[in-house]
Amino acid sequence: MKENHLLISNNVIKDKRLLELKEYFAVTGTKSMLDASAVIEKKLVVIICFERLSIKEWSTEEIAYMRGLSDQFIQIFLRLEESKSQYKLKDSEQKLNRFFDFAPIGIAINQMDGTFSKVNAEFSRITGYTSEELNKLSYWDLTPKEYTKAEEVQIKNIGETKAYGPYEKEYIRKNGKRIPVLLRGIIIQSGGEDFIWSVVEDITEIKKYRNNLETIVQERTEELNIALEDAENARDNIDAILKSIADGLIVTDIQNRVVLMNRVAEDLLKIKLSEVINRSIYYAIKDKTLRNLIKNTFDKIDTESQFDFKLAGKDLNQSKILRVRASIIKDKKGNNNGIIIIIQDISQEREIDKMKTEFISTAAHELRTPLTSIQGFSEILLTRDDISDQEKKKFLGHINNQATNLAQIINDLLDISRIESGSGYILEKEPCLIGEAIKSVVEPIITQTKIHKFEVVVHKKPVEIIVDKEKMAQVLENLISNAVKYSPDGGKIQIKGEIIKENYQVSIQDEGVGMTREQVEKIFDKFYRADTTNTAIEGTGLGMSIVKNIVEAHDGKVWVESEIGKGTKVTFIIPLDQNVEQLM
Amino acid sequence: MKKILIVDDQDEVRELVEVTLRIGDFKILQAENGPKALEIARAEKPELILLDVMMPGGSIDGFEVCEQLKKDPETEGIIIIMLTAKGQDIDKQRGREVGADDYFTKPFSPLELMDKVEEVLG
Repeated sequence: MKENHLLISNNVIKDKRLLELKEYFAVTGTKSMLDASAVIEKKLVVIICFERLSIKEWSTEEIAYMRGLSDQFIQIFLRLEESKSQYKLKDSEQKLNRFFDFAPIGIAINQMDGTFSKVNAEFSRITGYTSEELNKLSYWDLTPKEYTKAEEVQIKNIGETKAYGPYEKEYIRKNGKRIPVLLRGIIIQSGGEDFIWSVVEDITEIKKYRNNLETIVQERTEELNIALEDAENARDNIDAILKSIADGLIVTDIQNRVVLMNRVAEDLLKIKLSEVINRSIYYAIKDKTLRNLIKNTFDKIDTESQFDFKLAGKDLNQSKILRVRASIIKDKKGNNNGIIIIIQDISQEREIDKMKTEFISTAAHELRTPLTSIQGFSEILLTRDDISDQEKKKFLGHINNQATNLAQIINDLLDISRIESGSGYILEKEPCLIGEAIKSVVEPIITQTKIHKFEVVVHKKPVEIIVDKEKMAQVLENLISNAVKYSPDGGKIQIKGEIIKENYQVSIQDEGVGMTREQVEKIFDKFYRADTTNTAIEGTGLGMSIVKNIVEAHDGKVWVESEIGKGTKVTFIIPLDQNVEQLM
Repeated sequence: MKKILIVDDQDEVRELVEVTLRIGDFKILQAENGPKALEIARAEKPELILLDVMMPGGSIDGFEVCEQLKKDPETEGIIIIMLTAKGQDIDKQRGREVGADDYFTKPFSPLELMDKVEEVLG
């Protein structure tokens, strides 16, 4: 809006509009005045003023001239303003262009159909195309096919929100290689047309770094998992070790609360860890005596303490002798961290100790018997003169026999000590007519007893097997003399030899006292005698153990069937197979 | 003539004791197991019994024989010397418990046994 405002005053003194200028007029002597104010956009631009020193009416020409002059000023001002703003625009455009070109981020301006209309230097660097080349291309030309769908989503976003991104994709560079980029853009209207302005960031380095980071994270995660797994395995291992330990194990913390307990301890104390965990050990142990013993131990314990304890069972056989060892667990600084209790069931060791003691006394007794004859008769022969020649011969026979017995007993003892030390037997195998061997063992025994009836059943046709003859005789002697010993009231003793499948089988059956199942189970144990309370029965308790070892040394087997009060049947087999081969 | 009963399951031992005592003026009786020993002791009332402990073929052992005889007023006066291979303190104690007068351990010296017998029979 531009206009001229004219103020025409033919006599300034009388003009009320100009009262304010009275003093000014007095100085200048002005009598009439013609003013033109040029206003552009309501802004006063210039005032042109004609003044006359005489009172005179302004002519039409003068007024027209004034209007024309003011108009010219307005035109000059308008042109001046125009050129001023044009200069300003050019300046900001230049700045923008400089920014555009030197921005360290790619900038592209595309038409809505995707054609590039302007790109900056960084965008050219990213894509490898010059801006001239790009002017002939569309962003579709730079977009790999698999991004089509994602691209369409972005285009849809632009339609709705006039903006898109941030959005990660790849460009196909001029050299055909791909480059990862991150885009973000808005729609800017220019000259009545919409353009897509996009900022494009080359994220090759970021991606590389990110991938490295991912790899590192993955590696660390994997390492951590392995470490975790190792730790778990280690814990499982420790758990398994603790569980498989043959001794009972209880761990308590510093307040004597149960932290850990293995199966054996659970079984021995008849409690479950789950019932007592984190509760006082004194609560866990039901047996009063044991509880007090442990309490005493805990109260006095310095580093380690030990005591033996007999834990009563339902009956005498179930009672156990326990060796309880308690040790303080110390941490690295030497502080007490709790107590570890190891409970060892030493019942068996005690039983073996007892059996060994019994064995020694039985062995001593076994030695005394032949020695009685040897010492007695030899002393008689040396000191007496009333002995006839016939008697002398008889007594010497006794001495000789008993010396032989003594040698046999010593052999038995040596056999056992050999078996125990693990060196086993060295067999001297040779063909043996087993039927004959059985008979030759039975015959001398028959003459020693009058109350037993012997029945020997063997093949009529001689059967030859390859065995250590002496050892086989030892087995038969042991088994047959056991049958005699354990049927003190006599009865039938049947000895049977037969071929069954690929084995030669010998069985010795008596009608004697028999054994309980428990006794049968222990019959092959060293030093075990089925009935130690019956002192009427002699023996070292080694016979069956020796029998088993000899039979097994021949790759055979031996087993016992027995019924209390009815008798016992011992059977052993020696495989024929290898024997037959060896015979051929 | 004083009667001595020898109780032992082994023929050889009885033979040895018999030969040992032959030089004295005794009537020798023999038993090879516990029940037989009791039977003969009750019937013959010997002055002395030489008694073995372990005797298979009989349901009772020497200690029991001794105990029964010492409990019975009819036979309590019979002097009993245990003659056994069981030589441990615990066995000797058992011997004293059942009332045995003396305890001889096998193997033994026949001369010493003879001395002992003469001593106890006065």
